[in-house]
Amino acid sequence: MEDRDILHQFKSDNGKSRAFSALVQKYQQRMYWHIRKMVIDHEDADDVLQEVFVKVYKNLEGFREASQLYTWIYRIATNEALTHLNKKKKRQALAYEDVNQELANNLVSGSYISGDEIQLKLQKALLTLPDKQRLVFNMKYFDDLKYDEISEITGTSVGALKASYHLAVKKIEQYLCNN
Amino acid sequence: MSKNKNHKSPLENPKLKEPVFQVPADYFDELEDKIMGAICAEESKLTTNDSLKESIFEVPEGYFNQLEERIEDGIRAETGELASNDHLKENIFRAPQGYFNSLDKRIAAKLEEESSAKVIPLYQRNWFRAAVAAMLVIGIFLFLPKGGEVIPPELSEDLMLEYLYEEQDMAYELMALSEGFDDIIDNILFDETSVFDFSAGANLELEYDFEYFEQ
Repeated sequence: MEDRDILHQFKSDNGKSRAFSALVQKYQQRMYWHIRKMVIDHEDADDVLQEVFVKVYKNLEGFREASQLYTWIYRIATNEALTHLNKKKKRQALAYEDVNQELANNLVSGSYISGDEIQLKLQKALLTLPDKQRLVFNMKYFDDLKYDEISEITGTSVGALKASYHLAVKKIEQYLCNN
Repeated sequence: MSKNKNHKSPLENPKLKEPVFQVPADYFDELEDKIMGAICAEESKLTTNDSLKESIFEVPEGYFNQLEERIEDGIRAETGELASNDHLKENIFRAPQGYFNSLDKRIAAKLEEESSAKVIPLYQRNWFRAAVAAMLVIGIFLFLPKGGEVIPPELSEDLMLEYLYEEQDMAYELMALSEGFDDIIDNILFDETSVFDFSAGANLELEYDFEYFEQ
């Protein structure tokens, strides 16, 4: 179902439930993988994903279509993932490095993770980056999003995103060479 | 023919020496300003004044020395080995089997659970009302006009306590006299708390238009 049909149906009197179900079906996987790459753990990703769709449901009626629905949901997912990581740091009173070390440990011992040595090493390298830089890298490298799209999602200029991505690549290459 | 020695040249006529040219009124008064203006205009000509051509902008130290390296980094980031390594791009994360089949039902259940849970607004909660009432009592007690009453400079402990109790009783009496005290508190609290609700209700996208992503 096209986004505009979903929106139209959601705003009608009797199609809300069906439209929302279609929306979840359409976006669940993309949003799950986006969140999962940020929070690493499946249970955390599941919590965040559900929260994302609950927020989408609550706010969809007032969605003014100033941006694409896809971008808007992506933005909510991004924000929720970052919020989750920040809460984790505050809740556990852990320093940034400690939380990322915990996430790195999850890469090794956590469930629902596969991948060979070099793939895991790349994920560990990513965990040495600041969250937002990691986010930009994920969207550009793994999700193949264009800078324009990332800019719309994050509200950051294309120039700043390019600088962030290039710096991230440089750091990762150094990490991979040194480890 | 001899010249007449008494003949005068017409040029010797003093009238001829009188100026026949005139200048506009105040010409000489304004001349200096005009000349200075012309000099200033000449100096500020964009084409001839080299000092205006000088750049006032600066770059961070070493900017141009590192520029080439940064451009190379950018090119490598976009097209290098890492960028073209499909193996590294593979998703190593997995979801439990059947996870996505039931996700929409679990979200629907969560929405149902949230909507059925009775939400008691802050201003309707007893502890909050009690706290506000206590603050009002203290506020009235502290800031009630004393009507010019002079407190004796030396007070015994009993006198002081009596005075305090009186003031407190007055505050309670004032509150008791106010009709619909609960309604007054409710209205105050509603006014205070509804600002956010109104904004959020009128602009449901606000939350996601502006929050979170720091530059």
